[in-house]
Amino acid sequence: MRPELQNGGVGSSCTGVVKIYWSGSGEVHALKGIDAVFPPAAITALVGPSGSGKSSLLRILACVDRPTAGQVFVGSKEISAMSRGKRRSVRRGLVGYMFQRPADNLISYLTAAEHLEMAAKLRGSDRAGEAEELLDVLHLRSRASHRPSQLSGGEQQRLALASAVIGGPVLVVADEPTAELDSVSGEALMGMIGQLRDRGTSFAVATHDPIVMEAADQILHLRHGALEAETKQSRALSVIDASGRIQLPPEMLRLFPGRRAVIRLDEGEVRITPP
Amino acid sequence: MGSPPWVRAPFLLFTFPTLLLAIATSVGILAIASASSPAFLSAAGNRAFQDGMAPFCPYTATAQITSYIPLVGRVALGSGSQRIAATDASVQHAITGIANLDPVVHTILGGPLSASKTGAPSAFHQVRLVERDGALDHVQKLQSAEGSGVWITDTSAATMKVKAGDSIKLDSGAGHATVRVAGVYRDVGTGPLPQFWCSLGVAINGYPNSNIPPPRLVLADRDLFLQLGTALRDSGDQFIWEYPLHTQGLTLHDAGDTAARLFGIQQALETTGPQFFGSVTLASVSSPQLPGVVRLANETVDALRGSVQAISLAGSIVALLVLGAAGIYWVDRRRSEVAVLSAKGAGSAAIMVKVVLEALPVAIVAAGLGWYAAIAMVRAVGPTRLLDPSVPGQALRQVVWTGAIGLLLMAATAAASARRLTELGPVRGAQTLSRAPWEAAVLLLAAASLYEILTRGTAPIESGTGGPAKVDVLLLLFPILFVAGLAGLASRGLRRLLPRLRSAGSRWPPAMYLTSRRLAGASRTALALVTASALAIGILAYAGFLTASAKATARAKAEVFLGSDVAVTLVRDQPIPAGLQATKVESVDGIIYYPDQVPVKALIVNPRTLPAGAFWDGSFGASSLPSLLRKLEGPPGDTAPILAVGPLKPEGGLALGAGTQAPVRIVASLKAFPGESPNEPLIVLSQDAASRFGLTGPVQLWARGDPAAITRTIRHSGLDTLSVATIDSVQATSDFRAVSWALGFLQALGIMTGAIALGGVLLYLEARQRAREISYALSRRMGLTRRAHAVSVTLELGGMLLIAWLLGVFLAGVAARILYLKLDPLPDFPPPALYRVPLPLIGLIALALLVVAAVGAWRVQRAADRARVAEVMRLAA
Repeated sequence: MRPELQNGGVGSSCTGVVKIYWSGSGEVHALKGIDAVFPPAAITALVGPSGSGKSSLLRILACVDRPTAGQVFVGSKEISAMSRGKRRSVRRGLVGYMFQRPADNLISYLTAAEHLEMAAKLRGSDRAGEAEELLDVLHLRSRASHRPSQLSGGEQQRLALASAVIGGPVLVVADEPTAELDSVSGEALMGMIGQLRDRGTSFAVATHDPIVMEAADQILHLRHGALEAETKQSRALSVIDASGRIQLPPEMLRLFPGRRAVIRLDEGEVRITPP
Repeated sequence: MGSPPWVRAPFLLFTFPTLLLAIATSVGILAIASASSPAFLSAAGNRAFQDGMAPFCPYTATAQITSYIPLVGRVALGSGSQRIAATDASVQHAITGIANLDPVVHTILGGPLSASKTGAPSAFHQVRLVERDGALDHVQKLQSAEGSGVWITDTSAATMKVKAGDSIKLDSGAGHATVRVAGVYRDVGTGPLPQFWCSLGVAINGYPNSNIPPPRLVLADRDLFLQLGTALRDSGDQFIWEYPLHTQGLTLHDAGDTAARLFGIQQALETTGPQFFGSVTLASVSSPQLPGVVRLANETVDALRGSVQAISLAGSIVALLVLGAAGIYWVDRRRSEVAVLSAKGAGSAAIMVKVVLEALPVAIVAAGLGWYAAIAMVRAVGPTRLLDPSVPGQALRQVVWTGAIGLLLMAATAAASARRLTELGPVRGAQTLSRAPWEAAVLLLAAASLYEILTRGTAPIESGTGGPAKVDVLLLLFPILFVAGLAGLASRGLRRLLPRLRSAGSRWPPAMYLTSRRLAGASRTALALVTASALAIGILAYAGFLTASAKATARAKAEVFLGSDVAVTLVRDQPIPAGLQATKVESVDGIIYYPDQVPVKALIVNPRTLPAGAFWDGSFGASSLPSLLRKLEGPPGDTAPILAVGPLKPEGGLALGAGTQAPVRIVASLKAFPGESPNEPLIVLSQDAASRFGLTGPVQLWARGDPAAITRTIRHSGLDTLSVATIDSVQATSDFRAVSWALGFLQALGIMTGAIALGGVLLYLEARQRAREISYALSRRMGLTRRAHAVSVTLELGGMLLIAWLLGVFLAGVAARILYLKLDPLPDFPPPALYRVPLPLIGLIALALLVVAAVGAWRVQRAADRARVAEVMRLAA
């Protein structure tokens, strides 16, 4: 039984999210209409090869970037058309962010306790004792007066996690948080993320790490900017987007070298066969 | 913002020394640029005032009040002493409240007297009694005797055959008196007049054109003077009150206050002076020279103000741009911190506040040091050390508000850079903007400035009527725009050309190979620094070109005006002293030349000695001076050969008076000749020809060489001279002063921008240090030697600075060449403006760049050597 959710149980979602970048060589379609839900008090893993759009989706969820089209809700706030200032306000109050490298999440001249103090003040949170509580949960109490250079990689990432969750954000976005940790530290970190999830925090984590995928409540598989599949409770589901398109996994795509298929409805089942 | 990153902000910058240095340097230079303008103008005004006062007698420059008061006779107000006291009180009252005046110097000048030795027949020796405060302290005493009495000159003593201790008889015609000679002093009229006696120049030396020697002065103290005056029944002694100007430490501003109050003295004398009758005159004040000097000095400052403020503004803008860049550098050095704060929702305002809080302590110290340095620099190398007391406060106010603007600008660029770093992706518009050719806009402005300069009715050096020359601001703006625009275009061109180095040098030694690859991959930042360095060098070099050219032009014009380095007007024809490279000439002004019927100046020369003593420039005529002068010699004929400057008919005559003409023919027409006067044709004829016509004029001696040495030789030679003029005294006119000061200030701007640019180069190296360490570690693993790397870095840095030097000097030279003809305050006076290349300055710049390249390369190599390879390899991964 899960403890009472801190944020009232409101999750986040994307509907038809498109993101196009303009570069010197032309347009880059990073996201091609993503529909996804990030339930409250859950860990959602985003997986996919490089260039699949994971980071772009994370940046949009983190209110650092704006979608080219589509709707994005963070909690009850629709952020798609927000101005930069309003997005910053949402980011401050409702979103926590974790960078991949532990050191990138921390400021070199602040102690662990000061990091939490800063994060709480920026979030406008004044709940007494929350920082100490987090330090206890994340086993950092004895390191409260240490600077980042005096912490191990795992401790740095745990501190980054605490800094991201303090004040009860609606969503914590993490970009490959275990990439630079050894497996033991990675497991420990995911264990603590799980504990925080149980306390009501929602996580969206981009990852290649099986440990993270193992701990996730749902896994969103992205490929070429589209949502290919969704895994929930160990069940992999293909995603049919709003236009009725479905992505076939690569091993199935090989059956259709001509990129043409026959689709039949047969006794309530949809069959897709090569012509 | 109450959280630790903001609370700790004022102390954080000390943990980022490079950033601290960048901000401190930029703020310091901004402070220097803004504070130096009021300080320089104040110094220039005070120097112009001090120079303007120098030729004048300080005792007559302000208030010289004169009254004729008889010591005897039936006039109002009682005895002579009472009349003197009443007038004295009136004068003191009239002077009250006028500051900057030294204590009064009283002088009483008696009328002419006959003097002779007691008991001897009268020698008709004329003297006059004088009482002057402190007189005996300002004469050379030759004889003295115990006891009181008068002091007479050695001239008088020789004439009357009198010595100290003897008695002389004085006779005014109305009375007589016998007085003891207490001493004999050297007559102050026998040599250059000492300053103490300058107000009595006419009394001592007589009027300039008079051949009658004035009565020699007999000095007496006041009591003795009044006693003798009464006995001599002197009908009217001249009482003089002099209030010398206290010039030491006197600023133009304070002098102006004093000058304004001088005009009230006469009115005060009229309203408060005692009413006299008879031969007593109301005290009156002579026209002081001070107001005119003050006016001219203020005009010099006005002439300078536009240029100095424009240059100061340009320097401030450059420093502000660097501060803006420092904001970007701040973000670059604190990328991860900025990313964390931004991810946690800290907006632009919060970042700006953080930047300001961090930079404020450093900025305050740097601004203070810059303010102090500006004032110290102006005192050390400016026109004079003397500054108005209000200048430090005025300069500080300017430093404060420009510093505030600078800090805000830095904070704004940091916030914008932080936003770009964390929130925005690549934007098509931004890329287009970064590719926009700003150089085209700058060159367009340069072209507009040049068009304006070339087509304006007035020259860039405006000489108002009798006023100092004023430098057109566009003359200073044009090179900045021209060099910046073309240097930027050249950098763009380099960006396209340098990559071709990649295909070259496969067989070059490793150091050169590495250098060529690094230069081929030079980033936009590196080339921007080349542009900035070229601009700074260009400004400095341009000022150097113009200064050298203007100085050469001024010297040449002065030499043409004078005829030589030193021109001495002689009392009469005398032999040339030994050791001088000189010649003698005579000049006759205003002689009519027929048939043109124009007045010309005739210069009578010795063709054999003139080349030795006269100034000559090859542009004056088609032939050399000796060959031109040979045409003046030859057997005497009906007409005398002459050289001519000016549009004169080839054959004509000189009007000699009484209807006679001296027939002459022009054997050569010249563009200019030494000794010519502006706007007056000149003819040159030989002494032989002139003597045949009976044409003579005042004799001048023209000497070539060091003016100070020549002046010393003439002084020791015993030549009887009327005046000595040197090219230094001609050049030290206000016409050239404002121009040379403005160019000097421009050179200071060049040095400042050069310091900024070179500082930027070093900071760029610092910013790229991590990447260099990685490449160095990897290169060493591949066999590159330490020496090869050091040479490569030196060549790379030296190459960039060499390009900047070549660009800057070349473009500055072109800009100066385009405009140097316009930098001529006397365009109608020959020779035309001269173009000179400031080789010492260009060499000094090259040396400075060499030092910077060596120091920069040493720092890079040292940091690379100290880097821990393992950490570097981890970073590379």
